[in-house]
Amino acid sequence: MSFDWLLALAGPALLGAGLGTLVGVLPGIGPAATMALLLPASFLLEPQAALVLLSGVYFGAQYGSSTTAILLKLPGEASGIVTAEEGHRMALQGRAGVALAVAALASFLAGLITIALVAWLTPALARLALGLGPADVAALVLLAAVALVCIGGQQRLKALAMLLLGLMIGLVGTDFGGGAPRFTFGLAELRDGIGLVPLIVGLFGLGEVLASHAGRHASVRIAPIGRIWPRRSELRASLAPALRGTAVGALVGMLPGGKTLLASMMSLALERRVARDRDQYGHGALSGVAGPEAANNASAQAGLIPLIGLGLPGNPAMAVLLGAFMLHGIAPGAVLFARQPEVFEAIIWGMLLANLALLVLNLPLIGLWVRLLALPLGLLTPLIVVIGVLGVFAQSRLPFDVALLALFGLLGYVLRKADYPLAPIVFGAVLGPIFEDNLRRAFMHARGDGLVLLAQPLVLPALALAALLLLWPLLGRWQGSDR
Amino acid sequence: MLDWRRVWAPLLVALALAALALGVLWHIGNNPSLALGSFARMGPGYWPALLACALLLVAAWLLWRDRPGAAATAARAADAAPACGTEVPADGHLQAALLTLLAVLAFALLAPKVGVAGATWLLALVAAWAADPRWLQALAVGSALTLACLALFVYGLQVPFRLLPP
Repeated sequence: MSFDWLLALAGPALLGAGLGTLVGVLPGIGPAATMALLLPASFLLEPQAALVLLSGVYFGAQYGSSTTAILLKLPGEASGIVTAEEGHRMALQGRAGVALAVAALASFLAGLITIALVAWLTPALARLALGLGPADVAALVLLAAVALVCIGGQQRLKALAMLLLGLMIGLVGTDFGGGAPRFTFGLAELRDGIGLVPLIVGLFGLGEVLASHAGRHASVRIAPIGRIWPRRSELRASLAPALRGTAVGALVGMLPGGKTLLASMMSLALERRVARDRDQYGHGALSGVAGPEAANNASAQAGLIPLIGLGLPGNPAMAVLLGAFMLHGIAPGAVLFARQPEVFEAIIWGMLLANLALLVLNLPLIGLWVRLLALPLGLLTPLIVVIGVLGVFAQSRLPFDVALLALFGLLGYVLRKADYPLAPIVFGAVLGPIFEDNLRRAFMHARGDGLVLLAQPLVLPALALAALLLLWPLLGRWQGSDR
Repeated sequence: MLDWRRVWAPLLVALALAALALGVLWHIGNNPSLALGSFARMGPGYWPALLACALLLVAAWLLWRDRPGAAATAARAADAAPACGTEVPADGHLQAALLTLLAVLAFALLAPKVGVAGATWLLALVAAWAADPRWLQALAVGSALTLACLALFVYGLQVPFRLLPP
């Protein structure tokens, strides 16, 4: 590692952090959509720089969402809803600046701790995964899929349908077993499968933005910011909640299906019970900002552990990032550490740089972001559409891919309107072929004997955990009807 | 409108998923290259057929659960709060979205014929008009957007687009 090397990462980290903050502030376009839009352009960068840029966007959105959550009670990203609760009450009392500063500092602290955790745990996880056979890999993918579906709460069935749809999208292309074309309908463009770039940009970029924004004009009223730098007593009071939030967030983030929103909610619930200022809840409690903000940042960054260690994404943004890994020809997991250890090193340093950049962007420059909200948001849609289309066309130079983009844009629009989750589609499309390949090899090795498969080290635990996750809600319902 | 979104749109999606599953099964049945094989030696059609059956089952379940008149559906229609998992309010307009997507399709058809510059201009124009239907403003925004984005891709990112008609 040299200074020049670090300097080369600083650009993408700063750009990613800035763009992430921007989309975190602007309601209507999320981090997954932005990462999707950047995906084609990231081809022009070195793989390390591209991955740092994309993760920077994700982390930045977590910082940025607190800004609008506190000032407007209108978070640009899901996890900000929790911060809005106490944070906006503080803003109404004229303490918006303190809330913003505590949010940024808590996020930064959580970021630092989680980076250390990622650097330490990910290689260990990848090493563990090294001895896994095809049956273990298939079982792990199945477990991750089940977790992704189950975390959907009320939407479990819809998430399952979307997972299956994604798996079907992953079917298109050439069968790697015998080389027979599957579902290509004679189109040469489909022989290598449906492109991940049009799929991701269409679903998240175009579809999401059109569903939330097309033809809509937003106007907002912003609370005054007031004093920014917190007093020493306020800092001391926020430290413990931030540390507790980091622990909760890192744990949730590592779980497959772990969502930043879930992490923030759990942290708020915890603070309501244990924080020293718990009698202030409902009147703008500082711990209700520090805890959830630390939690969402920690969970966002801890999501990298299963992603890089095992290649299993836990949420939409991580699914897009997995797509970026694949598109740059980098296989996450043990192979990455064996062949390209510098990529992981770059990601860790990039995370550090992005967090530093975010602290600067969100503390002294906070007023700048707030002013952006006065821009006409209606003009955002054409900008995103043009960049999305040109990006997809630049990546493959195939008009066919742009047509696919329109198709997936329509799909994303309809599915968002019908309240279907989109992340399982990308998960299925990316991991489906891997799952099928491993499943078929496993059954071939075992000659169809299920008992041989169950004897593999991870198969039984993974399947048992998956079954438990599936049956948990049924168990709850059974107990509920008992009463 | 709320009723449409919460009751009919999910049903239509479930119906489309069922149709897709049936289509895939039909395709596998009529395609000798997609042999099923056996459990121990799965053919190229085994996994797709398994998936299609599962999707058909889930879609049927969704159709039954969310049928109009079911208690859960009525509760959801009355519930104005966004469903769990939705991150931003989805209140974009259908016409604007469809028009924009048609412009994207037009770009795919036009780019090889009239060059990227012309196709981008049309796309930006229609997208700007769909966002805010005032002609003069759309013309200004669309043209500015075309220039800015093409400059970004061609000069900034060095993508060798063929800008003019061949």
